[in-house]
Amino acid sequence: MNTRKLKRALPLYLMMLPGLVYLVINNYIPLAGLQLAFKKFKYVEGIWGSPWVGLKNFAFLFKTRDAFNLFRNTVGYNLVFLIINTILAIVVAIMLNEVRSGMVRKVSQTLILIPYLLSYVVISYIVYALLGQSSGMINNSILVPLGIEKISWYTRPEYWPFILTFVQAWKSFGYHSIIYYATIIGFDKSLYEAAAVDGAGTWKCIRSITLPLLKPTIITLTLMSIGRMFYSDFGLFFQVPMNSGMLQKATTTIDTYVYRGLMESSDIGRAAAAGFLQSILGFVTVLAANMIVRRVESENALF
Amino acid sequence: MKTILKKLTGILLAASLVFSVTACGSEAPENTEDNENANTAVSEQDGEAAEEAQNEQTSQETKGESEKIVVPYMLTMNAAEEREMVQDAINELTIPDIGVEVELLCIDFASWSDQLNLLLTDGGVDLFNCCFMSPVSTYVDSGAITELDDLLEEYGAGIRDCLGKYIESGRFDGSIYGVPKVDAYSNRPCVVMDAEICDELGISPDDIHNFEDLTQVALKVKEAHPDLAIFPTGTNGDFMGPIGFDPLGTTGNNVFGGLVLADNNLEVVNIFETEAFETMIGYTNQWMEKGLFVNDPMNSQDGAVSYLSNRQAFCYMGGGFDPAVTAEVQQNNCGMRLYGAELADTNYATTDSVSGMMWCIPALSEHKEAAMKFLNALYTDSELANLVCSGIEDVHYVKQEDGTIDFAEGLDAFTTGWPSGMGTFWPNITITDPWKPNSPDYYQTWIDSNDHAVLSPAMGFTFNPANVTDEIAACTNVVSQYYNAIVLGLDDTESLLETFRSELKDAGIDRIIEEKQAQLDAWAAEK
Repeated sequence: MNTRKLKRALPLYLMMLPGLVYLVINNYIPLAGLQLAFKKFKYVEGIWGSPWVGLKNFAFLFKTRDAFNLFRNTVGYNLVFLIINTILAIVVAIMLNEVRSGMVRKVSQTLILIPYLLSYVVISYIVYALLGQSSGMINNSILVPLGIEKISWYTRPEYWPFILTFVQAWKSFGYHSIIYYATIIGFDKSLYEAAAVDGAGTWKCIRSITLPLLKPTIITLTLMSIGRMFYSDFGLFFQVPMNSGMLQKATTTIDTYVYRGLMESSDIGRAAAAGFLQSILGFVTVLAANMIVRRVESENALF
Repeated sequence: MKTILKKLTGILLAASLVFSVTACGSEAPENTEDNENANTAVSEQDGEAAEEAQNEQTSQETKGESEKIVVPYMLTMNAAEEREMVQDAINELTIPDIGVEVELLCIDFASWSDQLNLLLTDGGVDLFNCCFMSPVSTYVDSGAITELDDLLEEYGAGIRDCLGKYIESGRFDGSIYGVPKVDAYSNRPCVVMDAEICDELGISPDDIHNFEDLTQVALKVKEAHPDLAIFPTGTNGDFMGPIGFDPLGTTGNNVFGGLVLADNNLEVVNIFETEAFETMIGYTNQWMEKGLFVNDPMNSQDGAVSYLSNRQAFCYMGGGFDPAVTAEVQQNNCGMRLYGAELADTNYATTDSVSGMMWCIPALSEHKEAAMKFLNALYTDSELANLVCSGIEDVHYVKQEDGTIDFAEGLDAFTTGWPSGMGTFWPNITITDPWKPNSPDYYQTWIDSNDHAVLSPAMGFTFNPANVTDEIAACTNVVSQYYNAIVLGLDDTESLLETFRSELKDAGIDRIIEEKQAQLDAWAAEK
């Protein structure tokens, strides 16, 4: 690169600098802390001086009869969430886009975001108000008047995959649809006008213009969610079922298991090991998913 | 080359995207809300501390040579607004006496454990009370706290005198790592009841001695007050008390092997497989059946005491060296008259009952000697003890004629600038003046109770869980899954109990029990 080119690009590099510094400090330097997953942390010796223990820190994740359950729940829920969230978000985004009245659009845009802004602790009590045994709305205002026996929701794990999926979708669909909506309003309006001139209806426009144009966004967002495949939202799986032991078959995920198991011992090494395993598995799945995308449609792959 | 580079950056970026979350959040996935609270609290406190440090530095130069230590202090009800005033009064005593300047660091009860764990990693505190945190043994294991043997030898003679044989409860792997506060160390399970209802129905606390008596009383109350729940919550381990066992270092509901105290031997048994445990379940299931619990006890998250003070429940279960005293202490928190009745007749002292509140010195502290000097003064200097426990005379409290103290004029438990309810947080409340309406020799009864206590045969033994932490983590998960459901009889108790026991076996409870037995035998042989 010659000096003139460099000179011209210099302001751009300078603009990049703060972002890079942030990335290095926040995302790369802490990577050194990952060694804790393979160490027995000693306060006095610090991160670098603590002795190595190999894979010992990982053992506790597999010591239980539920080990399979943990991974099945975590990945299973995430897959279901991913599919439902994506479909729901796109449908809502397209619907938002089709609303002609600016007023209605603005109001609904705000309304669908409200659940996303609630904390899971608050949501857990909303759920409790619905499902509670003695004062819950579903039991006392719906089931009993209909002559159906009350259901003890907090002791019956079979219902919870549906409850959790519903709660999760209700909370987050607004946020996801706003992302898609923001993409959609960026599309070239002339495409739609041309299609309209050629006699395409709304449905045809959505199928032949909106969805194909959305594909790169869908793929990128999906790939990013896949990286979080082995994580779970602690609030959703711990607070919403109100930490009810009877539900654990359906609600335990890696994160809640680690929390319950290590709360007493505050073992930094084991906690780091659990996190490390989650991120390694997530990383591998992202690479694999990206490879598949590249095979099928190389221009949409992340890298 | 260029494309490879591009690809590499891509992969790196993706990696950082995924990893950064772990790297930052590796401390333990805790309740995010709590964490946020803790973080803001820390940064606030840090700012405050830094500011103060600056102020202090200028004033310190004139004060001459004194070593400064930071001691965290727990806030519960109301803020200690007059912390600085008390801190200055403390320093007026300690700087000339022992050459130690003390900075009190206020930490909210809710973030106590999070924030202290954080402070321990960088030596931000010099002396702390290891209560409401992980068991002391885990801090010994991770090297977070220092051995005190030499320090006690040199500066802690007063502490040794105060504690006598009970100092042994802080011994781990041969060295002393923590010193328990002076207290009534023994415990017997008891029930604390609404006194008004008792009087109304002619119930005397002296007639209750076990779960059977309590059941009769509960049914009687239920009959007279059908809308009132009898027992507030089933989610803490209080029902286990009457079994009478030494948990040997794994506390709460997580009783993975213990000694049955009535047997008075050193045989570690699985408490969950004892007949006494089944008897207890029999009672709690019966209570549930008869509707004696609050609605949805599984989902009740409030502390038991708050149900009483809101008149939503008749009683709750706890422990104490004397049921009457337990009720008395709780009266102030509840704002109502309470009776205490025993649920077993023997006061047992175990290592766990002694070591509930241990004072420790962090390994990363740079002022270990000064911390020990201050700790020694807290155990022995009654003027200092009065200051930290009750505040400043004539500002926060006034002396009565009989030697007890009362709030200064215009103050009460909620308006005082130095919270009075936390006296038991400090190492030695027994050398302070008792609060009205207690008798002047109130704390002497605490000390005396220690002489009548029956010691567990494993008294002084501390369990080192390092070899079985994986099993403990797995078993803890099993307990949180089944324990409440069994105790509250939410499903077929018999089959649940069977699954519970077999899952505990799979999770390795027998390994924990073996390990406890082996360590206990080695300890006994050494003794």
